[in-house]
Amino acid sequence: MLKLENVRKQYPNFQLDCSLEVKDGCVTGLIGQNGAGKTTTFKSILNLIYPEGGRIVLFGKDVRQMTPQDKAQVGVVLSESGFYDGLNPRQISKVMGKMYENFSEQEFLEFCRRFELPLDKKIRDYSTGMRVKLKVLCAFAHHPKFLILDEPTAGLDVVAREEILDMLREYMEEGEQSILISSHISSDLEGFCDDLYLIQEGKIVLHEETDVLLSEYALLKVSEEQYRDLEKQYLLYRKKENYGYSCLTREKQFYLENYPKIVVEAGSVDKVMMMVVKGERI
Amino acid sequence: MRGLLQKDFYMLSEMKKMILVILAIAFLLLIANSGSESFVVSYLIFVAAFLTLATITQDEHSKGVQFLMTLPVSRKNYVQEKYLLGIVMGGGAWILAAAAALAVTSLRGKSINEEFLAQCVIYLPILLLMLGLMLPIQFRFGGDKGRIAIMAAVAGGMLACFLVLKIVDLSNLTGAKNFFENYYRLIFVVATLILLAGFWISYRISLAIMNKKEF
Repeated sequence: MLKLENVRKQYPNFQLDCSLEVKDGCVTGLIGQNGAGKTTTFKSILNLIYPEGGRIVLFGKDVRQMTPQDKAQVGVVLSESGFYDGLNPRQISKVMGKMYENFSEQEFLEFCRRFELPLDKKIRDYSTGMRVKLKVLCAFAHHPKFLILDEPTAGLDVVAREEILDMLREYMEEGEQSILISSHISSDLEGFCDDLYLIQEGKIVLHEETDVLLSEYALLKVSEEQYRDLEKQYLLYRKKENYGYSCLTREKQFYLENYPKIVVEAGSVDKVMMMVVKGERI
Repeated sequence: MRGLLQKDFYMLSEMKKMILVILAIAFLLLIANSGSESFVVSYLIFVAAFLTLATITQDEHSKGVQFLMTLPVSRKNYVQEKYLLGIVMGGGAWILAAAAALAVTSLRGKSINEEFLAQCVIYLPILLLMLGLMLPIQFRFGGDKGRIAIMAAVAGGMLACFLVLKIVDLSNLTGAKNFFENYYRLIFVVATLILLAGFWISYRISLAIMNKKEF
């Protein structure tokens, strides 16, 4: 569906150098701290900025060659922008109806009613949660093949976040669609993504299937003495702590079986991210 | 393109109160002052051009252009739509103002002034000139900076025209004056053709600015 090969973009204090792939029918997550390069990656894919090097291929086509017809196959949510906030859903449905062939005004308005979005209320009078719901709805209402979602759940409470994710799950049930999603709320991605890329300082530092990350990764908490005796071949990152070290491994079972006295915490996106960002590579 | 136009008309409908006030003022001027027809036409054309620019400012608000570029819209479509909107708005204002002026004149029982008709025709290339100058500046500088740059350009243009007229007047070029008087129709046609070419160049410049932009 989407492939980025060594995409490079240089700013005065930041450089993006990113490669990643989103496979057909998959939900791929991009995680990283604020300023790690998530939005720059998304903007590169959407041709909003021009990378100096590398290649971005979407639907088998260089994104620089994308026509409006190709773009109609993509749905986008950007965290910092959207439709003019003086419009209401009824007006948006008219605008989108003229832009997309595969868009039904009636279906869109029906979705709005279902998600309790007032049809004649301007976006600027919506709550944060309602705005995000409308953005997501606009992104998939024309049945695109590919969704690009930059922080779609930012600033939402748990209930609203779950509603958004349910909307996206519903979209994925339609067929062979794919999603590239970024979020700094890792729990959202754990239950939703097939695979995850971790980006730091503009570079992809980890790529793993979510199931593997949750089942095979672990955080070992060891004293300095335990650390000295620990088999280090399977350790990825370590971080100095008050009690000794915390270490990230991809071989949870090995340490559970061979070091019964050490604390082994199951892996999570947060833990992995913390170790990659704050720890040192072994 | 149709979707963008629809969006812009919705945006403009948000300013409908202000537009109605402007139209009411123009209409009152027409009724109150029998010599104001030409001013009213130029005034409404100016307003229409500035409303077109206002839609670009609104698009830029909250990074809206960035979002529009993720829709099935190319940068070229966006630029074309703004030029088309300018022509539709300016043309509409021109027709409305001229028709109102003619209606008020005939209600007064006066015959239609030939000079007024000539002035009306001249305002069409002036509309193209305004749009052709203002749109690339707005695309390049956007928002508030764009407004300042446009005001500077309009002031500069007016000063240049004033100086040219003053020089022609002072230098007592009777030959040149006679030439203008004898061939004003030809001069008008040539000037319009030059303006059309300039309008095309303006569009190409705006497109180049837009293609270069990163959002």
